[in-house]
Amino acid sequence: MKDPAYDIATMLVQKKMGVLGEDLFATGDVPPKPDFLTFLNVTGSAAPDDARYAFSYAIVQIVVRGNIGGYVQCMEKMYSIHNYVHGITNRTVNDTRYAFIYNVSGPINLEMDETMRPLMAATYRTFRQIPPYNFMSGSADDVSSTIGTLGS
Amino acid sequence: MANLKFEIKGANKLLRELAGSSAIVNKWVKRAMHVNVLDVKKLSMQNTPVDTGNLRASARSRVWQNLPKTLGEVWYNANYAVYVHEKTWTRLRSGRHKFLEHALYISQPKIKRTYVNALNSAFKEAFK
Repeated sequence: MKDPAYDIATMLVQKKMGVLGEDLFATGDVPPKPDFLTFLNVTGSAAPDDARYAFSYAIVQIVVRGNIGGYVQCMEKMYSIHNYVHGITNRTVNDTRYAFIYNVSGPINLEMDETMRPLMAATYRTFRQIPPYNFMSGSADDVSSTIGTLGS
Repeated sequence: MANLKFEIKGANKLLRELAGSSAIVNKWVKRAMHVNVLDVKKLSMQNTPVDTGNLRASARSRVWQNLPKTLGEVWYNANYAVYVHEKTWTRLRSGRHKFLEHALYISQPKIKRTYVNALNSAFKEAFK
């Protein structure tokens, strides 16, 4: 399993909405250049409701930064990403299945950064399938060995 | 082929009672909403970044009913709250970004439990 931000960035690359490492970043860090870029952060996660459902709920924030004076361009980019990401169902990326991705806040205008570049942000909640631990038929030893395999 | 018939004794009475107990259910749901809203507010205030304390002190909450819906709201009055909440790439000396959202997610199991308890109490009161 990879980072949820990286998985969503991969979806955006597949949709030709950016090039990873050039104008699309999923490292949680914001490079100073280029001005017009998109970056993704994992901002939280909720525990699975029940182990049998095998879903985790990672929360990913997508931020678009525009050129100086490029608010409209920034907004259009944010909404094109929003229209694509909000409502994604049953997508498998990097061997991880995303049952559902939906918008929880935004897109909102975060005004300008310190160098007067416009910022827009939106946050998405993901229903992410975690590896199937066979709780129903297995014993506690099976579970611990599975976790051990994943951890090694 | 066997023909089976089931009858639940007192089912009609139960339905009549349920229809008449909506005021009791609403009362208990509103109480549960108060508990949940205050819980989310408390958790978010614990995680709010503090410099002068203005942001943390600006947390507000309210509960109201627009029947059949019961609504609760937690918000921050400070006009810069959204920037602190959303600018996850900036550095903070205390607290965390997404303090309100995070509080909502981590209190979800408790929220569910509170509603189950409230409905149990409502049914106990309705059918005592």
